[in-house]
Amino acid sequence: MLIEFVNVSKVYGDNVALLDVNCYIDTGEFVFLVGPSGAGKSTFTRLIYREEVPTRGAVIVDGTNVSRIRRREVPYLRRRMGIVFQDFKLLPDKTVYENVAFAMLVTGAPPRRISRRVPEVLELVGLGDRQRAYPHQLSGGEQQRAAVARAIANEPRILLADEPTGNLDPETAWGIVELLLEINRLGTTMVIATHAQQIVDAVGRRVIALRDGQIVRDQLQGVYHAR
Amino acid sequence: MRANAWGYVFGEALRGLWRNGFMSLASISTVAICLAVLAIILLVAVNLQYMASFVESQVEIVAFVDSSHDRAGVPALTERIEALPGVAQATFVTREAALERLKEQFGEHRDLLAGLEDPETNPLRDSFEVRLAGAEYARSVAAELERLEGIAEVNHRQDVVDRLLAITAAVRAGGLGLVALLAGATVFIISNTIRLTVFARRHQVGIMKLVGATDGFIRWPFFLEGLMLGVLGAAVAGGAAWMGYDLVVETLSAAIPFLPILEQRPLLLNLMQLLLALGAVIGAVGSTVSVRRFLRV
Repeated sequence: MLIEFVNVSKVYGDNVALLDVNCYIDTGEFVFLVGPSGAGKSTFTRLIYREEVPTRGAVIVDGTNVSRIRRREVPYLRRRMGIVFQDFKLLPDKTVYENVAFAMLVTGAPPRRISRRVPEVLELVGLGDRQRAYPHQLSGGEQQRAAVARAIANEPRILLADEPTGNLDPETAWGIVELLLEINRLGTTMVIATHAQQIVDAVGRRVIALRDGQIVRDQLQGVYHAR
Repeated sequence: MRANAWGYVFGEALRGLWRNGFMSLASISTVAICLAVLAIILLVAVNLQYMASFVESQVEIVAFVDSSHDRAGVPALTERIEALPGVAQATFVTREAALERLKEQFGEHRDLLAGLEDPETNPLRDSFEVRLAGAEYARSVAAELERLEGIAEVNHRQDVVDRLLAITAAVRAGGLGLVALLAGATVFIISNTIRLTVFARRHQVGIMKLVGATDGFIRWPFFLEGLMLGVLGAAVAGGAAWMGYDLVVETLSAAIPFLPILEQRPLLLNLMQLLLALGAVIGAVGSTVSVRRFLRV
């Protein structure tokens, strides 16, 4: 089991974000996390990369109880996963190449590995010829591709994506999802929180539906809305 | 950390320094002012102390003869002085000879002393120059001399020494208080400068945390920027102190030829080391304060 939620609750003041969630995600799975705004999707992903700690219960990632680890161990947990956001979070004053190299540099990768790996991942996401471009010179889809390249540069076992297509038009969004599917085929476990109903329905992979902080549906070949 | 990571850390620190432009300058200036004040105080105190010990180490005491005393009694008085324990030799100097000597010291300005040769106008007194067997006898011999008949006054070097040491202590205490205050203000300004850098880089820091950079690594550029501000300020203060001291020493020794002033090179080198170390500490403390409060890593 790669990701495991055991009786997990997360409470912010009076607001219950997650309530007694139990869930297992295996190595190599491709999972959509769906549900209305405020259902707990973001909290779910934030618990995995230990931006939050559960109020009750345990979140276990790759054999580590992430609610128990010390602050200084968090960076090493995050090096085992890649994270992609709706707003890309690229550094505007660095080129595409530098943005990816930066993530490797600050996590202690040797220079030789960086210079070999960065062109490789940029090629994989389809930005082989845009390495010297700055984020503002790229389309939204290209920026998200750059963000995905950065997320997989350190060869993580898990890729988390929080609304990765939220800022993109449907056609571009499809390109990103195809890229994520491709990365999943190469062996990376994928957890994607999304609102994109059409994409979820068309892909037909596992769907975990959240509502009011609880899992209301977990289907192996799911769709956005229960039929 | 790897060499390329250190390259990144240094590059970021320098970029921060450059980007904060005015605040960096302000920080460097306050560090420089604070440490320059410290340098002045230390240089003055060290020299006062040196003067005191120089005066103390003089093995000569001057005893002035009572003006009513007959010169016929001089040989007897000389014998009595030389009989005192700790006295090596006593030489009688007439007031005429003393005036002659003074004229020599005045050199080209000797005209100022013209017309004083008349015994009625000569302001100087007959005196004994008493050479001691050692500086440690100064106090006892001075006391004995004062008790001798025919001696009007003994110049009290110990008084001068005590006063110099008192001034030194006052300068040091007051000065260090002032420096402590300035250092506090300096730390505050540096921490503000670093806060600007933290603010400018909050986006970047957020990404670093997400991709798994350690807190220590994230802190380094900020810490280093503060350190650079402190050391640069110290270098400015040190350079100013060096040139200023050279200038003051030159001027003073031209005006007062026999003034005891400390040899420059070793003193200034020690001072330089001290200033750089203190600058580094001030910078490090300033950036640490800000990183602790605002970086939240």
